Amino acid sequence: MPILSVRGLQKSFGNFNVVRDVSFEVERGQKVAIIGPSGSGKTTVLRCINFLERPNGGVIEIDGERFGVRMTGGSERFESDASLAKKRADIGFVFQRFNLFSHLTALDNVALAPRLVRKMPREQALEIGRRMLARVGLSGKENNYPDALSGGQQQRVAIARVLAMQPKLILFDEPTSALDPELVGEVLAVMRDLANEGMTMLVVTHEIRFAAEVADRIIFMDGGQIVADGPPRQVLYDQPTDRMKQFLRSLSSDNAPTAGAPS
Amino acid sequence: MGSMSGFWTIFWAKLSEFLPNLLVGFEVTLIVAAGSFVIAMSLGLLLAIARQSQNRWASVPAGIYIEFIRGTPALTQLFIIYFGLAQLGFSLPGLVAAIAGLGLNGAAYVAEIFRAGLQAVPDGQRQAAISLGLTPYQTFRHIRIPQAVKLMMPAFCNYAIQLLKDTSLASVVAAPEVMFRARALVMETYLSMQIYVLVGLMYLSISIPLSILAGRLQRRTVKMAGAAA
Ligand SMILES: Nc1ncnc2c1ncn2[C@@H]1O[C@H](COP(=O)(O)OP(=O)(O)OP(=O)(O)O)[C@@H](O)[C@H]1O
Ligand SMILES: [Mg+2]
Repeated sequence: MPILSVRGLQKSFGNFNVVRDVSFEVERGQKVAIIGPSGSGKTTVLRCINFLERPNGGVIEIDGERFGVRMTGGSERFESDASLAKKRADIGFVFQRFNLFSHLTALDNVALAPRLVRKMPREQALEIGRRMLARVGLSGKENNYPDALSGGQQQRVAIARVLAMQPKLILFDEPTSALDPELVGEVLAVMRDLANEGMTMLVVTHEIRFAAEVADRIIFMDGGQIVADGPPRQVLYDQPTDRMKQFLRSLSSDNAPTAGAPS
Repeated sequence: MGSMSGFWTIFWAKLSEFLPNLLVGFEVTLIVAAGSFVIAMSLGLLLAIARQSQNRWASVPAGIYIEFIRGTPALTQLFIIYFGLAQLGFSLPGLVAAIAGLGLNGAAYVAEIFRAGLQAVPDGQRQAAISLGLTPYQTFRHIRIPQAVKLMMPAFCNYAIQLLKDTSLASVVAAPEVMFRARALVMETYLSMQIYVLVGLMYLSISIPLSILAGRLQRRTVKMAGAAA
C-alpha cells in the first residue's frame, strides 16, 4: 500500500483552477521530486496534502487513511481541527522560508511539538531535540535564537523540528530556494542523508541535479497538471516534451542536470 | 505677591492635613485604574479574538462595539453607565460605575492593540505550527500570543498611562478618587494651584516610570524587528 495516495486533486482560488485533477502515489521509502515552472501549482499540491489548504475535490490518503474528510452515517463531513491536527503530526512540512518560531531557541523549536502534540515529558522532548539537532549537524547551536542562525542553519533546524515528530513522510517546498548559493549545499547534504536513511520524501525543487541524483521519480507539473511522472532519466532525458526542454533551459546553467546523470 | 506667599504659608501649614487626604484619594485612583485595566485586558482579548473570527456572529458585533466605543467620548459612556442605568433602575455606586465604564472603554483600545500585535506575527509560523500537528488553540497559546505580547508591550504601557489619567473622569460620577477629593479640598481652602499641582505630581510619580518603561520596551521591540528583517 502506498504511504501517500493523491487522487483527482483539485484546488481553485476564486475561479482560477490552480490544481486540476492531479493523481500520484508515493510508496514507503520512495523519494519523489516535483519540478515545474513557477505558478504551475506545486506548492498548492503540497499544501493540500496536509490540508494547510483545503482541496476543492479529490482524495488524499495517508497510509490508506482518508485525510480531511470523515464518513459519518454515510455522509462526508469535514474532519475536526483536533482530528486533522493528529494526522498532520505524522507528515513533516519543510517550508521555503523556514518559518522557525522566532521567540524560541533552536532546541525549543525542535522540542515544542513532541511536548505539546506527543505529550512527551519536557526532559525527554529536550533529549530528542538535542539528538535531532545533532543529526542535522547543529550540536552547539541549541541555545541560539533563529535570528542568530544563518539561513542554512535555520532550514536545518526546521528539518530537525520535523524529524522530532518521527514523520511517515516529509514534504519539502523548495527548501533551498530562499538560501544564499553558498548555503544550499549544507541543506541538500542533510536531505541526502535522510534519503539514504530511507525516509519517504516528496520534494518540490528547482535543484534539478539534486532531483536527478536522489529521486526515484520525478513529477513534472505544468498548468496545474502532471505532464510527466517517471524515473528521472526518462522524464528529463529520454522523452522530454518541448515544454520540459523549455523549462530546463530556463533554469540557470550551473543548476542544469549533467548529461547522463544516474537515475 | 503678598497674598501668594500667604497662600503658600497656609499650604505648608496644611500640607500634613492635605497629603493623607489626597493619598487616600490616590489609592482609590489606583484601584480604579487597576480594576479597569484587568477588565479591559480580558475583554479586549476576547474582542480581538471575536473580531478576527470567521464567524460573522462574533466578528460583526465585536466590530460594532469597537467602533461605538472609539467613536464616542469616554465621559459620555460613563454617564450612560452611571446616570443612564440609574434611570432604568440599576444604580451603581460611582466607584463601580467608573471601573466598569473605563474597563468597557479600554477593552476597545486593547482589542485593537491585540489585533495589531497578532497580525505582526508572521503567518508562516502559524502554518509551521499547524503542520507539526499543533491545534489552532495550541498555536494561538504557544506561538502567536507570546510573540504578539512582546510586540504589544510598549502599546500596553502607553495605554496604562492614558488609563491612569482617564481615571480622573471618575470624579464626575462621585467616585472618591484623587481629583474628587482635591476638588472638595479646593472648595474648602481656595488653594487651587497648590492642591492641583500636588495632585499632578502624584499622577507623574506613576506615569513617568511607565513612560520610561514604554521607551525601553519600544527600543527592544525595534531591535527585535530589525534583527528579524
Ligand atoms: N492563497 C492563494 N490565493 C490566490 N491565489 C493563489 C494562492 N496561492 C497560490 N495562488 C496562485 O496559484 C498559482 C499556483 O501557485 P503555487 O504556489 O502552487 O505555484 P508553484 O508551482 O509553487 O510556483 P513557484 O515555483 O513560484 O513556487 C499561482 O498563480 C498563485 O498565484
Ligand atoms: Mg511554490
